[in-house]
Amino acid sequence: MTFTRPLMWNVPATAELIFYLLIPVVLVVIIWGIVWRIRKWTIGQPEPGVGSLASYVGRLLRSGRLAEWIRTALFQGRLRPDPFALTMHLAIFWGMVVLFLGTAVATIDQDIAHLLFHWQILRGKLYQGFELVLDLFGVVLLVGVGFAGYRRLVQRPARLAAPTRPVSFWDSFPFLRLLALIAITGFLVEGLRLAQGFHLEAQVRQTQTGQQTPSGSLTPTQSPAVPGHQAPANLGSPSPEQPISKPIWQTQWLALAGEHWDQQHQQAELERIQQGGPVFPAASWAPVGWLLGKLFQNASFPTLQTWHQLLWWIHALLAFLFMIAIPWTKAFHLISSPLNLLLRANRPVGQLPVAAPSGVAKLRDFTWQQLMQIDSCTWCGRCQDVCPGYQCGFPLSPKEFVQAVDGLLLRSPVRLAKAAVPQAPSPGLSGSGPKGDSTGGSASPASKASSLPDLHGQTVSADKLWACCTCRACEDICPVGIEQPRAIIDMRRHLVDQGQVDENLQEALMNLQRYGNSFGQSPRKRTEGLQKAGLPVKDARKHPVEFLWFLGDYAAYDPRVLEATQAMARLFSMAGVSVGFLMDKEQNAGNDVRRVGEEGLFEMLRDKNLQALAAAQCQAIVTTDPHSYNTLKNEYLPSPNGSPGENIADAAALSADGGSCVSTDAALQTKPTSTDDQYPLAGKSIFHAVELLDRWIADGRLPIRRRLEHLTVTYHDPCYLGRYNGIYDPPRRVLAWLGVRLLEMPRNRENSFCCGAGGGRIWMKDMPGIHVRPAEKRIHEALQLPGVQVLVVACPKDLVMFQDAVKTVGVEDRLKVLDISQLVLQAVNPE
Amino acid sequence: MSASDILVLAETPRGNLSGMVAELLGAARSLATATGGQVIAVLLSNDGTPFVSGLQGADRIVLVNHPSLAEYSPLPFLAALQAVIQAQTPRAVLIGSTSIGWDIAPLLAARLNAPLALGCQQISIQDGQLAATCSLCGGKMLAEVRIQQAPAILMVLPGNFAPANTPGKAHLETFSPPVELSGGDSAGVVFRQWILPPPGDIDITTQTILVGVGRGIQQKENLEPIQQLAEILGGAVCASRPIVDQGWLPTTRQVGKSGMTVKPKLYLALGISGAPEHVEGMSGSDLIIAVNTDPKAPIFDIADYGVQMDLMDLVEPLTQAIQAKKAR
Amino acid sequence: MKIAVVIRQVPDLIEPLEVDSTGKALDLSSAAFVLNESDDHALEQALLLKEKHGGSVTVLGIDFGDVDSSLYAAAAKGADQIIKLLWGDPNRTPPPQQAAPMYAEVLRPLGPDLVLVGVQAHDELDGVLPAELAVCLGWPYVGVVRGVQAANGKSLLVCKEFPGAVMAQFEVRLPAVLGILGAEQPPRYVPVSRIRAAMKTASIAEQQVAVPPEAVRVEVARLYPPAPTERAEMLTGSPEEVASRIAALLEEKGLLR
Repeated sequence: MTFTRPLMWNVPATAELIFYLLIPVVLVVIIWGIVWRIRKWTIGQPEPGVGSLASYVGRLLRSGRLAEWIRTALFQGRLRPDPFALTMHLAIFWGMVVLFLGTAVATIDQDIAHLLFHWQILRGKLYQGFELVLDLFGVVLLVGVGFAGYRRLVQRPARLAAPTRPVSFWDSFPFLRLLALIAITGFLVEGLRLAQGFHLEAQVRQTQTGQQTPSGSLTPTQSPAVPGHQAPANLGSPSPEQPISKPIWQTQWLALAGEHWDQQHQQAELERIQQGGPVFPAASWAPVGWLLGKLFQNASFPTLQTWHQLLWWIHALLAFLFMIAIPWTKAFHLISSPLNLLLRANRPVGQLPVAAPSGVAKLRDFTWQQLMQIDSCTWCGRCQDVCPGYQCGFPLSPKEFVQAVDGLLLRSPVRLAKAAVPQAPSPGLSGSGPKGDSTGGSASPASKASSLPDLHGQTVSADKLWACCTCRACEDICPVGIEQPRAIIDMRRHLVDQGQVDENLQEALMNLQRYGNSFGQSPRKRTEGLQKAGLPVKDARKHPVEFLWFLGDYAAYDPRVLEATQAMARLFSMAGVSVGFLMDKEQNAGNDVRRVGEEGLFEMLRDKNLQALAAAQCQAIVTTDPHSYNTLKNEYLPSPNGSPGENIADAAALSADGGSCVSTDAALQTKPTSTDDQYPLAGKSIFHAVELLDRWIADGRLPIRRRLEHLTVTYHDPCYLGRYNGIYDPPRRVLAWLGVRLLEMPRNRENSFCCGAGGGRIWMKDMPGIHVRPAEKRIHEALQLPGVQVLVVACPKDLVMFQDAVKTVGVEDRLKVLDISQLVLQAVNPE
Repeated sequence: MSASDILVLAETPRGNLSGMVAELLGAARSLATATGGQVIAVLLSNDGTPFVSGLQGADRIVLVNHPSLAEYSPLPFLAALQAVIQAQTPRAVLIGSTSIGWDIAPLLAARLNAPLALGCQQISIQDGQLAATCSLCGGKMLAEVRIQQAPAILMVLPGNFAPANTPGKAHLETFSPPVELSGGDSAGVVFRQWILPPPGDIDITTQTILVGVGRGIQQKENLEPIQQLAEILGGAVCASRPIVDQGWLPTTRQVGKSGMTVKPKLYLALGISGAPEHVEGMSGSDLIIAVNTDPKAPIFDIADYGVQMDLMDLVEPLTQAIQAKKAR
Repeated sequence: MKIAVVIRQVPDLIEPLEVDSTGKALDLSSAAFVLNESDDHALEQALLLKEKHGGSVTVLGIDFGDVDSSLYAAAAKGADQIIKLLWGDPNRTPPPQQAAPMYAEVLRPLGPDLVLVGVQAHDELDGVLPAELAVCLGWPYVGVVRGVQAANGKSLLVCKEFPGAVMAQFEVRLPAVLGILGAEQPPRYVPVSRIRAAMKTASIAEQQVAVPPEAVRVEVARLYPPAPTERAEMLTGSPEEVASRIAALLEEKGLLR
């Protein structure tokens, strides 16, 4: 028989009983808490595209979600850009997991397997290995907590600053200290226990050298277990009344551990110890405990026993406290974050789900999945660190936004939040002033609900919502997969629904309604810039072409972008491809209209474009505008939320308002596109121009005649090309072919820094009180690169924003801003 | 039609003779020369005597003095003017395209069933007929109109007629209208008070003359002579965004997409290149004069007059030239 | 307060305007039409008054251009009733003198306390609709109004704009007609979804009106676009020369007063 784990050493039976009685209590509290918290999510609306949860999970798993989940949830893979944090979090997480599982296994091993079935798995080598692993993970946990402590106490990054609005009093829960205490008390308990073992072992050695005891006299006593706290009285000075045949250490051993074994087992253990075996056979396998034991062994046996019992209790209670705290504190992310990472939608990131077409006015207008996301926030603040708005003094911090909403969620009683009848759509804007408080009267009659702050205004003010550039940097970096921009856009939609938009934005939206472009120009002038330069402008609805060039607003109407647009047109004709346009029928693609929160206008623009596209004969679609690219590629879908096209008649009727050129008759003749093959974009690839340049330079269609080796450039990844659509390499390959020296800015590729134009911000007034514009910040970043002469962009809006920024920064003479097509043209057509 | 006199409504809002009156008298003079009639200035007030000296471009000055006419109010003014017209039977009535003119002219036309022409830029007699060129559709169209019926009510756009500058010996007469000017229908609209803009920074959107500055001014110190220029012009300084960003002028002075939209009569653009964001906010100005060192600056695309010069070279001589003109 | 608003369609100046074959009128078939800007302000002012003091807003428009869309947009913004006047010729708008009696015919039975109309429509040449309407109804009128407050049930306090942001405040007895230059705040944005909803829920009341004879008192001999001014006329010479040219220019334009 091999040695086994000494069980519940020095734990009196009453204590053990109390401990086991506490377990179900703790479990009930935890489960109750988890249910309380998850029920909060159920006030939300159905998530589009989910349907039955089981089949949704099934679909996700079949699409490879499990592996991703193991990577992102179990191994926190989304923290990879921050190795310090990744190490720290892995250490804490796995430290806790292993220690918890170890404790659980030991408990099961003892109190189920052993107690009921007299069968124990943790014995022999396995037991020693178990001890080693647990000891090591205790160290791992402490290292992780140490890292965290170092970050919080020494590094003190701003992003970790305490939330301004506490969710509850649990917010300030001393989480890390608790984890540290659990680990430390665990080690102390172990050390104190081992120290007791060393004492007994010393006694064995003493008896062996002093008085030989026949091994045969090792008869187990029938005496009841000596209560732990009484035992110390006899220790150290064996009383003469004790039978000489039974050494004191045996009595003690039997009192402290023996009752957990049957007689045969007891006998074997005592014999093993008698022969010089360790009291705790895995003592030397638990290095930390062993060291501590050695440290403590000079203390008297009774002292050790008292402290051991005391710390055992503290350790147990701390562990219980930690478990109980999970549902009530941000430790809940242990549950919500993995769930969130598991249930994340599988759609392209560039496709904005619209669950509430008229916007989120109240918490319950979010979907349950959004509420779950918000509730899985760990307050790490990475989103805040990368937010261009936050960095430039905009009133928005994505972290604070999420915390504020989560705080409201946790304070809102489910019954009331749910019971409140959804607002009936009012026939007009009447009754609520256009710029007035539009949060809608508190629909809930209960006074408790009315004492809660409104989601809009009090919880999240409008200026915060308008500050978002929808660059997705926050969403991309969020370790737990929260979609902050989506929630912000949902809330913006409510503001738009109430007519609360800034004057400049209003003008842009009116122009878009009326003319299909934000510039308020005649639709007929969309191709004027190309025509005036003498470039061929083919009507793709009259002539079949290879590429339909979807111009977008800035490339067509902004005089500062015209040169780049013309360069691109020249490259098209040099590459020998035929290009056509939708002419005056092209409307703004609607990417930013949608992200501003004007869903109805987006649908109208999309439907008009689809209608025009249906009339065009082309093989593929190309655009120089990443925003148009994103929405054409990801959001002009046959049927995302109801088929596009159903509103064509309405769209036409509306367009007539501004005299845009779709006649109602023509609109009505076009049937709504419901099936895929009728869908105008079916089978058509959508390219960003830079992808084609990459391809055509590679295949020699656009031969480089002069390498631009004299140029040192840097490249700015447009958000909607990079983070939204993953196009990072084609522009870099193009630049490599051109022979320019490319220096990367510190923030490049997925870490690119938004120019501040996205999400409709380009249409709005500057945020009051900002200290620097995002574009200016980016210019400063580019200027830090030695010798950079040109900032290369691949987005018309970037061209406008950065050209403006070099002026306001005052470095027009040092840094040129050029579209990549302009550089390519220089190399392809050197004169 | 025997009517040949040309009647001019001389407005005196807030006790000041409107600047339009000289132009109206100038227009009326050329017309009266053609019709062989007289220019009659009509002044409606509680006491018109102080304004008589400003109406010397007329042949006759008709004063209607009545307590109800102390401050402008459409209905008493309309009743008084209507009575004067009925007594004088002029060929045409010239009214400025002003706040008061926009009330009186159309009401008069409607009451008298008289022809009305808005936005007159030129007025003449052709083949014995009254002819006018009128601006409409925001200045995108011009209409040449003929009017036979008298009296023709002509609303005259400012800035199109040389002011009458021949001080004649106008005959002064007073006229007591045979109608009740207070009470009755006239009491439908009663003047209460003048509301002046709150003190504080000026509202550039209401200025008739603006001097816009852009990056071309180089340094903040250069603002001072430009402020002086604006003051002498009777206008205010505004700016494109970079200037406001630098903190050289408050945001209340910013013109353009992220600032104000202005439509002054004169926009003097100094060192402004003409970025679309800025142009959007000022392209509606009546007259744009741009000064910029870059001959290709887009501001010259929308300006009426351009000067390729360092603006600081021009500011001082321009201030002096305007001062000299004003002193005369 | 019962408020009526008259809205008009005017040619959109964004698109190039063309003269028809007679050379005397706009070619309406090639033009696009939009809601007259000051009428939009009149509507906004009416809605603000309604929100502040209660009552109703009725919007009237003559059947022309895309008046339907403008009426639906008005309903979406909060108008209670939208009425389209049919006058037998949907291909043009009647001139103000002719239009005023038609509006009056609809307005009289409605009995509004207040009629708000934009003070100006850029295609008007020989009449100003709100003034014509006021005379037609025999009601008091003030134009160039920016801001209306209800004083009591019988009168309004109205601000009329003068240069330099100076306002003259008048007390106007009801019923009255006001020519609105601007509302107290810019017209509100109405999202497309609300317009769509209004198209489904609101209905346009169509009303046939008697057409008064058109009396042409101002005869258009020719209509033409002004000679295009290309780039700025460049003034050259020494700074002093340029300065005196500019000063002369300003004097000529009557800007040195």
